[in-house]
Amino acid sequence: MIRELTGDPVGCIVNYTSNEPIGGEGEDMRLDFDSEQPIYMQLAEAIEDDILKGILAEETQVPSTTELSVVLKINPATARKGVNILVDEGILYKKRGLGMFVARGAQQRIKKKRRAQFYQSYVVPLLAEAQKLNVSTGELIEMIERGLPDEQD
Amino acid sequence: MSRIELRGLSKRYGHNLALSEVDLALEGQKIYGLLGRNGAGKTTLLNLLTAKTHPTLGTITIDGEPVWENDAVLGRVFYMTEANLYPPSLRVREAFYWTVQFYSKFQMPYAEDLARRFELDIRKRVKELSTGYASIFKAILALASGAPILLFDEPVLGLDANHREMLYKEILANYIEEPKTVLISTHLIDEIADILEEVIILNRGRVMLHQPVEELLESAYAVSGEASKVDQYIQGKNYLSEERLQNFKSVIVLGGAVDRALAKSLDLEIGRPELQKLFIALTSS
Amino acid sequence: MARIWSFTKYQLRDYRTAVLVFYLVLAAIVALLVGINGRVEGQASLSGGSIILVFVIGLNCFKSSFLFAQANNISRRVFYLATLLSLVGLGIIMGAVDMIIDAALDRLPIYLGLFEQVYGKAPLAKGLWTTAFLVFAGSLGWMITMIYYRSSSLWKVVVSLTPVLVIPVLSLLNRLTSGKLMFSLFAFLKWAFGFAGETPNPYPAVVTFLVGSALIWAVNAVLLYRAPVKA
Repeated sequence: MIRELTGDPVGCIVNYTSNEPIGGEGEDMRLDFDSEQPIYMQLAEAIEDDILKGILAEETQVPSTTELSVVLKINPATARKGVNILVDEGILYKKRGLGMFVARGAQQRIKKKRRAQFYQSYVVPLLAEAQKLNVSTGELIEMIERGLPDEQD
Repeated sequence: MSRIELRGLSKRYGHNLALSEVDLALEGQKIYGLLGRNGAGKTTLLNLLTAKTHPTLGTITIDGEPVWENDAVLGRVFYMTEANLYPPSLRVREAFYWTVQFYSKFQMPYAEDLARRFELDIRKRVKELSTGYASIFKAILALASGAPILLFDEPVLGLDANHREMLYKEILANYIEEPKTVLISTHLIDEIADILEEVIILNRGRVMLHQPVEELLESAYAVSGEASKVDQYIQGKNYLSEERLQNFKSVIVLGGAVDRALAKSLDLEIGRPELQKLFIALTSS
Repeated sequence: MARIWSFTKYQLRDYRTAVLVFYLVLAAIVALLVGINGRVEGQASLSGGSIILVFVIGLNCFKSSFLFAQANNISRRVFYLATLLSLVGLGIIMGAVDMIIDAALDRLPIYLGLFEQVYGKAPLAKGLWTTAFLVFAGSLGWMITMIYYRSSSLWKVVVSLTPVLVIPVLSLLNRLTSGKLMFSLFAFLKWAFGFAGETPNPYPAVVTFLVGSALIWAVNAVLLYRAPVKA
């Protein structure tokens, strides 16, 4: 299930899919049918994705929890929870009277966090699936190289 | 801050025990979901709460005061009923006018704006409204009423998809603009799941559970894989429904942490069911 | 308690169409008769008409206004008081209008309203009498609808049959008491409506109507107390 939403005030597009592996705590289980991360987690990740993609630049304002909840049709308490996770991680910060802003160095912080999870979230499931399909290591590497963008000088 | 409290509430209609020993306390300005199958007792509960009918046993109070024949307290509640209680020959705009008389905080401009956005012709008489527009009409009254407690009984009955989405957004926007206690009773769960903060599930006239939605969702997970292996996993665990397709089986487990090691060793997959799926699992006999 | 007054206004507004139509039809009839005869005569008087109208209003208005009160979370007590006030108000208004109309038509030769036919000329008493009668009629209509509303199918049949059974039952009882029942009954009615003395006296009738209304409203309170909300 993919939802695409538009937040009018900032004009940003927030995408998220629900087939992401469950993050954190070294969980190595893949989500399957009917599965979803808690909504507040999905929201946090979606905002992180936007920051990574540059859609939400550092020191720019993030839609308020009010706007987010109305546009995404989720309870404000849930929206607040998702945003607070990012505040706690130093990815967003609150400017009094104005709202939530992307912190300086947020991109770096997110990359660092995701890198740490990269192995568990992507490599382990990749290897498990490869094993299921009897894809050899050589084939795997070939596929990865095939998928990499061409190096151009 | 409104506190709704039901203690030891039971209601019998002839031979039918519609509600039995219901204990419920709703405190604070939240959006609550009252979920239950057809006949579970949701409407009965709402009717008792608004003194439409008298309990067989038990007490119902709002802010500590009993609701029966209590205009002061009942004036703080707007109840969007599933049934149509409005005089058939009354025009929508007359209904707006009279509701102002009975709910002093009713906001006419807001009501008119909502009517315009939902394309409700306020010159129409109540009897001329389709099912969907009857719901829209009543929902607008509720939203514009200015009451600190809003009860919605099947608010989206008859609404097309666009209007459903609009209504959920309006309820949210209204709630955000002015925090209040909102109780939505419905058996259409999947669309509403995300806007709820707490959920109350009624089953056969009893309160099955009352929890924050997130807490409930995080306490359940689905295990699936080869049937015999799933059976092994669920030994000694509290599981709900099972779905079976030849050798494939999927079971929803309630409570307890996921035994990842065991699941991995049995080559099982773990997922998290949506609220509606969980609800079905909980309320199938 | 402002709600009582608001709901009373609603009830009166609800009666308005019926009342306006009534007077329009009446005006048309009077105009027709005057046009034909040059005057208005006789039995079919206005007072009688308004009494029937108010009775019918009472019969019609219970359910939809009760449900409307419930839709607005108005307690049964407020609904009860508001309806009572509205029927009294209606009685006063229509009584006053009737008086005016009768006075106006009185200028035309040989016109007798219902009241004058029975009691002779007495303007003040007439006003009171008309109002009291109207209130009684409206309340009676209301009570009958409420009885039906609260009745199961079986009881509805019983209630519907009552008027039919009254006469046979009374005749039977009368025969059993060798005529004493009817005699006392008629004597009582004469006394209650002011025919006991030499000249008919309207005031006892006024009292009778008011007492009757009070009794009706006592019954209404019982009927309303735990009335279910049935759409």
